[in-house]
Amino acid sequence: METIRSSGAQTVSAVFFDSVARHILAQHKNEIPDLRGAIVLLPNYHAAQPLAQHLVQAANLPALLLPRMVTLGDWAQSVPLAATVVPDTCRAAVLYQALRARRWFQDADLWGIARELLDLLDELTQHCVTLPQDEEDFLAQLERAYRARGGAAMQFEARVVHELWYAMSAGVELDVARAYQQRLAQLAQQASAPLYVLLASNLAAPDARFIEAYRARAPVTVFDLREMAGQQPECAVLAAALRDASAHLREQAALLREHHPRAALKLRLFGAHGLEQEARAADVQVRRWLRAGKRNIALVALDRLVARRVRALLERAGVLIRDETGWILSTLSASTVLMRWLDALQSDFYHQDLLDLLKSPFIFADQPAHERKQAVYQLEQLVRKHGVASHLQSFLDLAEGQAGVQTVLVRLRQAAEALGKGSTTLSGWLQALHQSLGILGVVRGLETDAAGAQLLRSLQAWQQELAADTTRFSRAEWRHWLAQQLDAGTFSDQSIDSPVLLTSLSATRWRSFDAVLLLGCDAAHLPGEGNGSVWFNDAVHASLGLPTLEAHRAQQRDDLLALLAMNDTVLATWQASKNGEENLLSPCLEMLRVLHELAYGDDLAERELGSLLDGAQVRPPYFPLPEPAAMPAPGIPSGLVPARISPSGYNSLVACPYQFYARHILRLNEMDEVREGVEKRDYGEWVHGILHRFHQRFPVQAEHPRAALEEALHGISVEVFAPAVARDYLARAWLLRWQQAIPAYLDAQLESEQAGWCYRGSEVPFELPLDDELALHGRIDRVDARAGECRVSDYKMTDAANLRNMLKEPGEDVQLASYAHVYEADEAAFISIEKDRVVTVAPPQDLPELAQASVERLLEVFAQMRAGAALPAHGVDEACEYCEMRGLCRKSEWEAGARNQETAPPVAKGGE
Amino acid sequence: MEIKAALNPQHSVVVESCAGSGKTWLLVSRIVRLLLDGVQPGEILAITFTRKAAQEMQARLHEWLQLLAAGSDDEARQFLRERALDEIDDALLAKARGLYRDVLLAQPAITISTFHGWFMQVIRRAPLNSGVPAGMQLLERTAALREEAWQAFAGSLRDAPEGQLAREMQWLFEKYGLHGTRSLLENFVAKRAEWWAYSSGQQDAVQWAVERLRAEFGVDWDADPVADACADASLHAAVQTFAKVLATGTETQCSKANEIQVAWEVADAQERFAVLQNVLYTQADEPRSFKPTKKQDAETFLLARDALFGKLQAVRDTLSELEALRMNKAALHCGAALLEHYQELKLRSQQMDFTDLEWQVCRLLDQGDCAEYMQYKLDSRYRHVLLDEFQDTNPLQWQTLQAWFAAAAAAGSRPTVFVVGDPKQSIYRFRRADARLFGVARAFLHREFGARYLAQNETRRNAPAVLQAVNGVFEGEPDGFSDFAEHIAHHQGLPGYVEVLPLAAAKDQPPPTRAGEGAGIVLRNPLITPRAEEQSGAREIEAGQFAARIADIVASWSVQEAGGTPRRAEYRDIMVLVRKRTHLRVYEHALRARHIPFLSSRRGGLLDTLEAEDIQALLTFLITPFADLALAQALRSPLFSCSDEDLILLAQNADSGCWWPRLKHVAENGAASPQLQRAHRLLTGWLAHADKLPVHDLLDRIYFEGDLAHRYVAALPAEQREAARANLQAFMEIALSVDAGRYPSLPRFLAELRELRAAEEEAPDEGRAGESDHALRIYTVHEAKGLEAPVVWLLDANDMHHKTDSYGVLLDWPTNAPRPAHFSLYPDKRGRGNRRAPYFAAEEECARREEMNLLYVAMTRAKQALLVSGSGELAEASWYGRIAAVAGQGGNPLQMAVASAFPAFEGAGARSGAELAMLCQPVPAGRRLPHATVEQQRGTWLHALLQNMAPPNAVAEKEILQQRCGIPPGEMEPLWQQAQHLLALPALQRFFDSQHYRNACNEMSYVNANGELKRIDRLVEFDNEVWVLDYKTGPASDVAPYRAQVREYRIAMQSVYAGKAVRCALLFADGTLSEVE
Ligand code: SF4
Repeated sequence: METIRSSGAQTVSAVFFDSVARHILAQHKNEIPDLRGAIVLLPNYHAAQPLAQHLVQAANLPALLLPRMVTLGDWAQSVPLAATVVPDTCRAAVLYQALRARRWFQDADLWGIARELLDLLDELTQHCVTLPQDEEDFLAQLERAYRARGGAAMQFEARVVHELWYAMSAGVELDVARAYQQRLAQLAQQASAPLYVLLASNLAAPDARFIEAYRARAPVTVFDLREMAGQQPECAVLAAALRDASAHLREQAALLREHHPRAALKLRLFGAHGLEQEARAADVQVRRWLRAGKRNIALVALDRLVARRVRALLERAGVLIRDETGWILSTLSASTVLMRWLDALQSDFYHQDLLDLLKSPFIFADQPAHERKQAVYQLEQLVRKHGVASHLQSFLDLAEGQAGVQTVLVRLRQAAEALGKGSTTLSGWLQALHQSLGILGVVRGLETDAAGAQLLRSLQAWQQELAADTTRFSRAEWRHWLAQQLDAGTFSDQSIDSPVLLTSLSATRWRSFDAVLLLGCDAAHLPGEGNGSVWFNDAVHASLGLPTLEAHRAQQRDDLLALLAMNDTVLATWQASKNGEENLLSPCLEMLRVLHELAYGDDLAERELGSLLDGAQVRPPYFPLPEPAAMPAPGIPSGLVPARISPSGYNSLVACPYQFYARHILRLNEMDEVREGVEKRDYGEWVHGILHRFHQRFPVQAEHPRAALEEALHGISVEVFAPAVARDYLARAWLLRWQQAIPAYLDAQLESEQAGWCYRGSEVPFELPLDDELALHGRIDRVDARAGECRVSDYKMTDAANLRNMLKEPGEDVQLASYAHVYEADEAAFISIEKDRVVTVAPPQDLPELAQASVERLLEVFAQMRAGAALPAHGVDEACEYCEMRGLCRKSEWEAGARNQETAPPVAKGGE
Repeated sequence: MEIKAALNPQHSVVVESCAGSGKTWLLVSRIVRLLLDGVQPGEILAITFTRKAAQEMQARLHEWLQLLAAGSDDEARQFLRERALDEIDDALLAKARGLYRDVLLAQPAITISTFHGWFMQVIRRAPLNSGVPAGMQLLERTAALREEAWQAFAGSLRDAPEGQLAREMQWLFEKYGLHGTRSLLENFVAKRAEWWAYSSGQQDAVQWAVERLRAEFGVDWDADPVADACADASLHAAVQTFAKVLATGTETQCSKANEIQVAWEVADAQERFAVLQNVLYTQADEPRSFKPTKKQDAETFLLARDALFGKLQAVRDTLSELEALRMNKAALHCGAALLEHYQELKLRSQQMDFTDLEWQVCRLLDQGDCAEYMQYKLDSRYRHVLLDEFQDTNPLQWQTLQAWFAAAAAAGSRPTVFVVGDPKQSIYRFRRADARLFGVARAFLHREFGARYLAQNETRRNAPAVLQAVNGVFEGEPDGFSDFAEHIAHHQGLPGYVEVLPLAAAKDQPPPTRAGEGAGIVLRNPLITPRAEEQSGAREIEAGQFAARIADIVASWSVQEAGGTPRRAEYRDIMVLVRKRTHLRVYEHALRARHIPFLSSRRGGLLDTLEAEDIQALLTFLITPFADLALAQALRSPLFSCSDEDLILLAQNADSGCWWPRLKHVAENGAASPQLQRAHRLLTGWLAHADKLPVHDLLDRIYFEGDLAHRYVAALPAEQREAARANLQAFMEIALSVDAGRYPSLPRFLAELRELRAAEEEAPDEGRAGESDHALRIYTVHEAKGLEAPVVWLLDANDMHHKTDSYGVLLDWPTNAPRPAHFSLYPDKRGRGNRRAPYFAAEEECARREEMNLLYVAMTRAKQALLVSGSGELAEASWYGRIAAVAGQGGNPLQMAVASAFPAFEGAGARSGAELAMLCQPVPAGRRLPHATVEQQRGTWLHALLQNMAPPNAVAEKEILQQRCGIPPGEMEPLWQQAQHLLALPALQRFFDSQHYRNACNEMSYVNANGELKRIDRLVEFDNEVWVLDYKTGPASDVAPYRAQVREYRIAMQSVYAGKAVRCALLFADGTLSEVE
């Protein structure tokens, strides 16, 4: 517990509290030391402690029985009511039903409209607005407020509000807003004790009315911080800038200089470029304050994103933050598991939803985490390998024989059954949800987590509240409802106690801190816009007596004023530029800055901090920093040199030895992805398969009529494509593409036969030892023969020019040369198959010679590799473009250096 | 131009204002004048095209108003005089001084916004019954949703493979393949606003549109032009005539004549026509050339030839029309269906994209009633509308504005309108802007608003030397640039320089050394010899020259500061412009090779940078621990900087399974290097958190514990460091914003990144280095709009290869019409038919004009120096050719050595040096509170129940109690029982039954002399004594630990109840009451 500051000069906040304390004591001097007869209305409970301290100090007694110090909300809550109060969840359901029945809004999010309407109805209640009996009168009222004549649109607006307002206020039951009013009315009726009110900004209408009613029966004293600040010399500049809009800046400045020649405002402003710098500045400043011994530091988060970043940065330095603001339920991972479960159900267990769900730490909490993880990784590997996209049953089939995975899936199925389909009431849905979550072990998981527990409690509470509601909702409607509830609910994390606290501007009323950091003070956040209602406009709100935007802004200005008045160490930060765009400072602070500069020649800029930011980062324990990047060229132990190689492996070796090393020595591969559409490589594979089947059936084409061949080839194609076509309509486009090439393909075949070539086989696997230590293996697309001659071919779905290019330089693409060697072929060619063009492309060099050279080089390179030769990352841009190893060789980090070593500047070593 | 007229708040004005002439100055000055005239901020609506420009305008306005408010009288007067205010009396001055505050605090505020920003405001207030869906969010990135729509569309076709749509789709596939078909349909979707406008009011829009096209094309569905032609005697005659004429010529001609004859003999009409075409047209489908020989009568020959080709062409044209019609039928049907899916998806997720927004607002304001309603529904009532960059307006926006003006007039408050723009800078046709609207608006505003027209051709930006080139190029009125007026430099003394570098030409390549010839083939050994980059192209040479020259510029040029003093040129003074990004890599390569730092505007590149990939790999590993390659990448990245020896070690431990268990294995058996050990240690920690921490928090832990930024900086060459650091930050910001979204998880985050990456144009940009960066900037001309630089370099300016549009939408939207007059699709250059030729021609003309506009924009970015380079054969119509034709050969006044303007490095100073050292140390503060056990919680609840159930003010209703004490339903019953039991215990009645005491008080607060707040659970006053009760949650136990606390109560109460004895007791949960002495 904190003791009263005894240090030096009194702070301004102490002056405020002292005057409140003395006033109260003076009013109750006969009752001292028992002040229980008085009531003090606080904006929040943090003000209680300093007030108590000042009371006892001013009274100069060993102890004082304190007045009742309470917030109005709590006080009202303590009043018992006779009638029951209908919870908002039930009202929303009723309203939804009313909207649904009236069919006013097509395509609209009715829950959203219901929410907006409820807000409006509550506001009307709070501000004691009664709508005229007659809709026409209401319309006329609107016309006056809008200063316009009412057309269809205005009539509709009037009608919706009018009709629903009457519908919803017909019942005898109380809603929350009316209950609050009744309670306040009762309190005011029973008023007897003197009431003291600590105020920082205007009260909401019902509260203000209550004070007036109370005043009629008992004395009320209001301590308005705005007025108190106005009388305080230290706050003169604040009052001038934020409260007094009548005089011009220069005059104000002159007056200030005259009456308060010394600047007293302890505010500093820091304009950052970008979010990260703002967060850094806040982080460093808070740590400076901590080092300077400040023990009660507030971060006032106007911009939640920055606040989040600051929290993380501070945690790096071991500073934890107490958070008074809440987290919206829907942003918590505890809610994620719940929604992902519903997503998975809705998408028939689309694999991404499913895996995401299973990777949540909250599911299957009744079994050890590593078991769940093992099962989900197993499942994921299966799913990736077999490319199964959805359907629970498909996954079950896939997991045949894998007990762990099976159990997981079976539980999912049970849970899915528990949640059922069809329609039921909201509470029915919630109950089913709870049951399914129970089956999944999610309830268990959530219970162990503070946010999770709160989520469970909320679900339960809603279920209870809605128990009596009989409206039925479809699953989709219920999901919408749930999403809205989770968006509206908050969780406050109370697990941390710390001298640094995160709070909101409105929660700082009448509070003083050792230091305050205002985060995100740009024009967009201060004043914030609030969420304007879709109903009416500001002018109408004003004329109906509802709060206006200006009132909302004024409130924030007052809160800012109060904060600056109560606190004498404040840094406000904002992003002066954001993504390269200018970003303006909050107008309130802007005004203050200009006035202050005019009056005192000081623009309030914080100038020290900027230069500290880079050097003031907390770093993890020392570990040597990396050397400047350089081209890797590993030598490999002979034990790792492969004993066999495929032509594509050889190609990789030629294109880039490092790539070969990564693929074939480290044996690293990209993970399979579940592919949902047909891709070019599928297409290639299928065409290979089709041709294989076709040629096996028709080895000699000349023996068959052309039409029969075409028909057969079409038939086979349709068969091979059938599963893909059934799955994906777009596969037809690929099928068509291939079918369009069929005539050209048959022409080319016929030509080849006429040249004497006979089909000998396709998809032929081979494994040929090249020497004692290395074998060449692979599969040949196709082999033809002609009078003692042999030809090997490879189908390619690319255009001929491309292929020619590949073959231009000898030995850069070794596929054909390798096949030629294996079959001692006389001819080798790529067969380029494109839409209505089939072309044969052969290497321009002498084939046997090329094949020979190619094998010799392979053996030579392997010998060198075994002898420890390095495998450099020699890829040219063309090879690198689609290389999956670019993260391993890290070419972009060193390529400039490698090309131009002499101009490379020395790299300064960072670190300690 | 008369500024006075332009700023006169009473009049509407249209200003055509050249590049660099200070449009913003004019526009903001006008706002100031309006305010001075008594206009309320909320009555002003200023619209510009980018958020950045809007922000700048707002900032400029504040800056000026602040100057007026805070400046001296002289300054303020001077300011006002510059804005054409002559008589400045004290009242006006006072008014001017007050504007700052008025504007800052105005409610409603001044609106300075983009069209979309303003549309959003409008739509949020749209009437509820207008059919505009309420509560929509703006969808900025549409790629993912478009993909989803495409899949959904495909799914619907799969489910009805025999339906009409599927058949149409099949037809499209056959003709254009998957890719072409998709482009066609996507482009249709992209032009949906135009489609809606075109077909609005039609029951069956597709049917109607197809029928209209049929009429336009002048064909019938069952037409068979070939059969008709073959049956037509006149064609027969033409064929015969020509064949006969031809037969009198050379041998080749004779044989051709014969071929023609033979062809005509073919029985089947279709076949006959095909053969005939084969004979008469080339492979490229051009008519073969037939020329009369000397012997032949030229006139007869030509007559016969042209008659025949004319007839054939007519048939061919009809065929094209038919095909185009067929294609439009298929594509419109399918496109409309795809569009429906897309709209449906957005509706379901309550989202609206920019086009929807534009369309909805336009539609809204088109309904007279709604439009009028909007006039008063918005909080602001605009009386003055200012439109910036008007040449970028599209027809829909213009219509919206017109509707707005009309409604305002109907509501009795016609605004003044101020339009500023420059049709010469219209380069956004691809965003559907129509520069012709400038002229239309000018005429409209003149007619309806009496707007004055003013032109401004004096620029404050460019040096005379640069302007000379600009004038030279455009005075020739190239490609429809008919409206050019000579530009005049405001700063006549500003030194300038224009240079056109010689075109780079590819060196004659030595024939590839065929080591093979004769001596057998010798192949490259890849371990020893890298393959030669195919890099001898002309563009590479240009790039090399470019990089070398840049180095020279920073070494020896000077540029002028705003004040007129010269300083050394720096990288940031140079702006490099390219027309398109296609070849950027080549130039970047060259810059990198010279270690020249640059910021490339490669939009959407962030996620493809190596550092961002590293982090994605790491995160992938953390949530998918069997992703070996991802792990290996993370290990090799500067984060862990493991060597290949480390990887080899892991490769050798294949027995342990995946790479993660291998790493574990080697780390645990001590075989691992320090790097591997560190990796193991850190990864173990992160793996444990990967599914629990929010992504941002996890990333932050990785950044911090991994010392990420420092390690990247150490590993990277100097010129890459800033960019890497900025990219790491940008990545963090993505995580932050994604995390703030709903239902976050690491797998979802990674999936979203994949989507973003796939969405090319919309992918996140690379991070911006801080303000202090010293790097050269590379932009496309489109991006450079609105920017300027002392030195501008136009790269690759000789290139004339521009992608021709294909699979597009052909539109004719007359500028004043409410809807397009023509809407159709086309696949590519061929097969467009004849009837649409005027539209295509118009399109082409616009495209050519825009090409020149781009050049104008590019050239006018240069303040002082303009350099132009290119490669290949000189193309006179290229940008290079055009500038080369006019560029003089002046000396280079910028080549002047001056001292560098780098501020001397300001040391942080000794004091902050010490402070820094200290700040780098952690300052642990705060702690996690232990979780309350269930027992503790129950204790608290019981406590709360007792407080509420004991008189005075005892609560009896169980529900209320439960609610007030926050007790979960399941816990309530036993606790309630227990509390009741306690309160009813006979031994305690003297404390709880009001008959037995004088006064009691629950939860009584007091403050002691130290200022400590204390609370007594229950205070009971009797006649001569006061009891302090303290509730304890557990069963009865020793009272010793509570003595100090109780003593404090006693002393305090003794001071309050001076005359009475104060007694204290502990009340345990089992009902035991223990007095503490
Ligand atoms: S990216 Fe290029 S250099 Fe790196 S491994 Fe792949 S091919 Fe080789």
